[in-house]
Amino acid sequence: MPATTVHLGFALLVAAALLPMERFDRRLLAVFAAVVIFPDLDSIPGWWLPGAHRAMFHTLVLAGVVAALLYYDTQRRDRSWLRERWGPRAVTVAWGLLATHLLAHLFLDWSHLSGINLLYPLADQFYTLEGKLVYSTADGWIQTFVEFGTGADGGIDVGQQGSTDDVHVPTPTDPNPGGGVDRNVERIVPVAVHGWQLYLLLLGLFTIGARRLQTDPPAERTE
Amino acid sequence: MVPTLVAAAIAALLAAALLGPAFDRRSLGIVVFAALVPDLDAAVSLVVYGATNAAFHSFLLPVAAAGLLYWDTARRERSWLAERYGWRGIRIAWVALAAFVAAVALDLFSPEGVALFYPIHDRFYAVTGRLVYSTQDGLVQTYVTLGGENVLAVGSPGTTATHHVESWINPTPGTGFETGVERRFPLVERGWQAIVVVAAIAVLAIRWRSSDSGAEGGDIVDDGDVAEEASSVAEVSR
Repeated sequence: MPATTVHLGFALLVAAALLPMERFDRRLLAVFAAVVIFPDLDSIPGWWLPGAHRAMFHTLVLAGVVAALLYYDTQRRDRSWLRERWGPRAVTVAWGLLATHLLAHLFLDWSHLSGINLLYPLADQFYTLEGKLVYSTADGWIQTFVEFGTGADGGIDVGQQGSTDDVHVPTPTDPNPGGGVDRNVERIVPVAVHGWQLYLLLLGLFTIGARRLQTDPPAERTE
Repeated sequence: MVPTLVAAAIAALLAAALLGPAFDRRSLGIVVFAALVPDLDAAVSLVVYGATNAAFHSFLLPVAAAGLLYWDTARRERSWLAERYGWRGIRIAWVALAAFVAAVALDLFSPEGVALFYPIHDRFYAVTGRLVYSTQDGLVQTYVTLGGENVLAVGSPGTTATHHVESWINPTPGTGFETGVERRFPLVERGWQAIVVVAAIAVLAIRWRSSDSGAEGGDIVDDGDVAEEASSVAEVSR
């Protein structure tokens, strides 16, 4: 995975952009951190279920179920539990954090190493988004995210990586493939790898720092 | 250089995050434009040898702009910017400056690097490496080297004389506009860059959708708290 720290950095930027009116106080930051860190806890079931990391909690199915529950609670029920318990702002925050989870966690992991198991458990297949989109005066448009006729069976290659049987994304808690707790192995806890990961981490910290330091607009007119 | 589209996407996210009540299409345009300016030095490189990622990527520019902005808005008795454009003008100026720095930093943290102190000191700097904790090797950090000849050093791919940064305006080393060479105009070069662009588009779409529905509830807002209530009510009602 890009380290959880990189997700936190990019997620801070995305969440701040989606929730322009919220104060990022300790309570909101705690909920935010829980939402961002939670998916990477699926490396723990990897002890018993090989391949669970980047599959179990990194699936669009789980995000879809949460979105459906949120929609049902806030739009379809007569009395919304979320609104009554935490106030109307909580609804905005909940949708914002769900979108942050999708954009800054799932999608970023999708573009990294072996990708994520997009539709687990409905379809057990890891996908990686990697490629480029370039216009060349010699070759015209070059697009390598989706390749036709080069897949394993001559089909469309969108970065299929195999199922939970084949794919193991190493994590500090579970560095090697296969179940069980590994002993006497090197465990690597990445904070940032490559320049761009450090960049996203610093950019997120800057954004949230600036948000907290910003002065309020003058009260008489916000037009 | 990292594709300009990625710098624009980062700027759009910064604008949405930091402009607050000053966020609208016009201020967004100003902030995104500020992030495009550094990459215009590719055009300068047609005249000045090796100016890509150097001329407008120099940190002297934003430092001077920040100094000027601070002096005008905080040190002078009557701020020109505040009198002319008010609170919004000051906010937009600072966020645009942040977007400019973020666009330069995007190249600084890529292998091609940025000539940070150009033209005073002609050397490209690139912050690349890793920061990991290993149970066998402890904390491993290779972004900057401490000690040695320089107190603090980051990687350097060369000087403007030896290091050419390819761009679609000037694909080969040297000045002058060439004909008959391949020009590549990259939109995204890596998977993560595609995700940054997708995230920026999604955030702008969500923000405009909620601000459009907010306008139905009346766009004259008396103070920040009411604005917050209005936007969350709008969020709920849609």
